[in-house]
Amino acid sequence: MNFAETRFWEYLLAGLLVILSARFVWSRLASSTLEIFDKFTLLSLGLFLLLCVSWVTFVIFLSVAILTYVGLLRILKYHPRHATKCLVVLIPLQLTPLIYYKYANFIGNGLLDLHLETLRHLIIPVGISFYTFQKVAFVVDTLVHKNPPPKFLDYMNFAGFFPQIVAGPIERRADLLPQLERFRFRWSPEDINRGFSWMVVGFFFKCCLADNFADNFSAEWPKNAYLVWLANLVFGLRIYYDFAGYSLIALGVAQCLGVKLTTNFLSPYCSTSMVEFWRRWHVTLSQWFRDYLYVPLGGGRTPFWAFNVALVFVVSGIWHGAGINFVLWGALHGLFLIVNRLFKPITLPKFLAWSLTMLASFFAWLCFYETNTKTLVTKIFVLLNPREYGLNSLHNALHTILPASQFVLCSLFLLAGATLLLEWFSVRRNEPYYYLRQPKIQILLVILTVWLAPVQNNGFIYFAF
Amino acid sequence: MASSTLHFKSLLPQRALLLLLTAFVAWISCVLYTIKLNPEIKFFQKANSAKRAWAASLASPAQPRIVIYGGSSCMSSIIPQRMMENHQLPVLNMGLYAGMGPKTLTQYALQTLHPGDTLIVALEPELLVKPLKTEPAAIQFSFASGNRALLRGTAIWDWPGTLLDVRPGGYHVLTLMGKIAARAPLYRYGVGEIHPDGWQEIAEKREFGFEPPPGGSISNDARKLLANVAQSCATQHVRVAYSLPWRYCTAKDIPFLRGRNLDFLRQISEFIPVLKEPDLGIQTNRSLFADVPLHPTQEGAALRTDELAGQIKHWNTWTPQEIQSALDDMPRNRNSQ
Repeated sequence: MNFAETRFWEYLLAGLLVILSARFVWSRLASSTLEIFDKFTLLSLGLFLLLCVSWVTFVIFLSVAILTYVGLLRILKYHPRHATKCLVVLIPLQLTPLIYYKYANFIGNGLLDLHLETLRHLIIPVGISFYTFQKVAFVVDTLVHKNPPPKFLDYMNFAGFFPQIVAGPIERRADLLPQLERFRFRWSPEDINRGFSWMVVGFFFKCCLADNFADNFSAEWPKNAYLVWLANLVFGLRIYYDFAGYSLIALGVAQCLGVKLTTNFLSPYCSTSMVEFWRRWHVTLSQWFRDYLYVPLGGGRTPFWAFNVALVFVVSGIWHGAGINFVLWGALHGLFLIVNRLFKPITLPKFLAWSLTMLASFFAWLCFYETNTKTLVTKIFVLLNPREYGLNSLHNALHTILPASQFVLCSLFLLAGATLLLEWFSVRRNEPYYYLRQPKIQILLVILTVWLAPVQNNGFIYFAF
Repeated sequence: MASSTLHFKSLLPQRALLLLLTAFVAWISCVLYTIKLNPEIKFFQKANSAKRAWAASLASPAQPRIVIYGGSSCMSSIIPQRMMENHQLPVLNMGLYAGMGPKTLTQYALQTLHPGDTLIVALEPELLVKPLKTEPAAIQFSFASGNRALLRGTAIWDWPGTLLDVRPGGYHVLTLMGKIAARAPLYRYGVGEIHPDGWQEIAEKREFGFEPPPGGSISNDARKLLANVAQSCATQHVRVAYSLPWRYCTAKDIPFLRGRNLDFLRQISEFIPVLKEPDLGIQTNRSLFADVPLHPTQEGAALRTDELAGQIKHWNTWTPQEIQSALDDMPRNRNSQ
C-alpha cells in the first residue's frame, strides 16, 4: 500500500468504481441496508488493498485484529470486574507477532548468537508496529474507560481503515471509531477539495523533497565531520518529508472519504525546544507513549520523572527498530528532554533556541541511519572532536561530493528551506501547513512535483518499522 | 438553466479538478521536453538514426550480417567501418546506453536481425545480476524515437506508471540548470562523437580506477532473458554468442577479476556459447580507456574491434565444462576482494 506507486491508485480507483456501481444497484434493491453495505464494502476495499501488499501482511493483520476483538469480548463477558487486570494477558498476546517479526532475529541471532537461519530471513509485515499499537490502545480505552465494545463490522473498519493502516497515524478509539460507525460513501466536493489539498502537500513532500534527498544521501561517505553533518542533515530532511508526506497523503485520502484523521506532523523543524519537537513529530506515537506508558509510570509528577522520560524514549527507540543504534537514538532524545526540562527556566532568544533544537535533533539522526555500531561510535567521536573541523577536512569533504551532486544538494536545500519558511509562517498562524495549502502555492507544488519527482520512486522509510 | 448550471458547478470539486488539470498539463510539458529537448535522449536518437542508416546501407539479402549489442561499452568499442574495411565483416553496432536495461537493449538489437545473421551479445555483467524491468530511460527513448515496439509486453495495468516515467526527474532538471548556469555542455557526450556507422568515439577523459564487476549469480530475470535470446536465435536461424566487454584493471587485481569473469561466463554459457578470449576482457593499459573503465579510447576501440573480428572469424567458443575447469585451476582465493 505504497501511495507513491501508481499500482495503489489503480487498485483504489478500480475498487471504488466497483463499489459505487454495486452501491447504485444496491440502493435500488435494498436501500434500507445501504449503511451496512457501505461499511462492508469499505472493509472489503481495505482488506483487498492489504492483500495486494502481501498475503503474509493480510493474514497477520487479520490474526491480530480478530484476537483483539475476541479477547476483548471474552474479558467483558467472563471477567468484567477484573477487566483491567486481564490486560496483562491480552496485551502481550497482541504484541506477540510484532515482537516475533521485529525482534526475534535481533534477540536470537544478535544477542543470543543462536545462528537461527529462519529468523535471519524474517520480513516485517508492513504496518505491524502501527496497527498493533492502535489495537493495544483500543483495548485499553475500551476496558479502562469502560466503553462498550463496538459492533464487529465497525471494529474491523476501525482496525483496518486503509489510508492509515500501514504507517499511521495511530488513531484512538474516541477519534476514529465514531466516524466509521456513521461512515457512508458520500459525494462531498468540499471533502474532496480539502483532501486533495492535503494530498498535494503530501506528494510534494514525499516525491519532490524526500525522494530527491534519498537519491543524494549516502551513509557510506567517509568519516569526515562535515560529511557526517551533511548526511545527518540530508537524512533528517528526508525522513521528515518522507513520513510527513505519507501521513498527509493518508489524511487527504481519508478526507476524500469524509473521515478526518489526526495530523501526524506539525512542522517539527520549526520547534524551538525538544519538548516542542516531540509535540510536533509523529504526534500520534508521542501521544501513545505519553498516555499508555509515561502517565501510567507516574509521568512528570514523581521524583523519578527523569527515569520515566528516559525509559519512554528508549522504548520508543526500540519500537523504531531492533538495534543498538535505535536504543541510542531513543536514549539521546530522552537525555535532550531531561536537559530541556532542567533548563526550562532559562529563556533563550528564539533563533538560538531553534538552532540548538535543530543541532540536537540532526545530531541524533546519525543514530537512526547508521546501523553498524562500530561505525556509529566512530562517527560520533568525529562529530565531537573539534580537530575534525579543520580546513583540510572541509577541502576533503568538498572533493568527495561531485560538483553536480553539490549543485543538486544546494538546490534541494533551497527548496526545503523555502518550504520550511512557509511552514514557519503557518506555525505562527497556528494552522499547520496553512500556506502550503493555499491555491496558488498548491499549483506551484503540483508543477514542482511532476517535474522534479525522480522517475524511480523510493519506498516509504516507515514501512520498515 | 442558470440555476441548474450553478447547481452542477457546486457538485464538482473544482479545486481538486484544477489541481488534477495542472498535474496533467505539467506532465504534458514533461513529455514534450523529454521527446524534443532532453539532450541525453537527443544524443541517443542521433545514435539510433546513425545505426539505422548504417543498417540500411548494409541491406543485402544475400549477405548475412553480424549484429553486436550491449550498453555504452559496446557502443564505444566496436567500429563497424573498421570491421568492414579491415576484416570484410558487415557489422551493426546496436549498443546504446546501459541505463536502458538489458530487456530494451536486447529488444532493440533483435529488431534488426534477419535469418542467417550472427548475434553477439556484449551486455555488461553489471546489467545481468539485477532483477530486470523496463527502465525509465528506455521508455523515454522509445517515445522519443517512435519505437513503441521496445515497450511490447508492457501489461495494461503497467501503462499508467510507464507513461508517468516520461519525465526528466529532479536530478536531471537540477543538474541541467547547473550546466546552463555554468555554461557547460548539456550532456557529457556530444552528438559529434557518433560516427555514421553508429560507433561512439568518446572524447572525454576522466580519472578513474579499477571498478570490479559484481560477483554472484546472474538474476533469474537475466536467465530468462538469455534463454529467450537463445530460443529466438534458434527459431530465426541466427548464430549467437556472448563476448565479454573490455574492462580496465590494475595488475594486482588481475587474478581476482579473472575469477569473477570466469564465474560470470560459466553462468552465461549455460544459455549461449561464449566466444573464447584468453584475456577474458581484462586490460591493464590505462591509456586504452577514456572516461570510465568500460569505455575505450579510439585506440582501444580499434584493438577491441580487431580482436573481436578474429574471434568471430574463428568462432571458437567455450563450453561450460571448459570454463569450469579453468575456474578449478585458479588459486582458491580468487574471489576474495
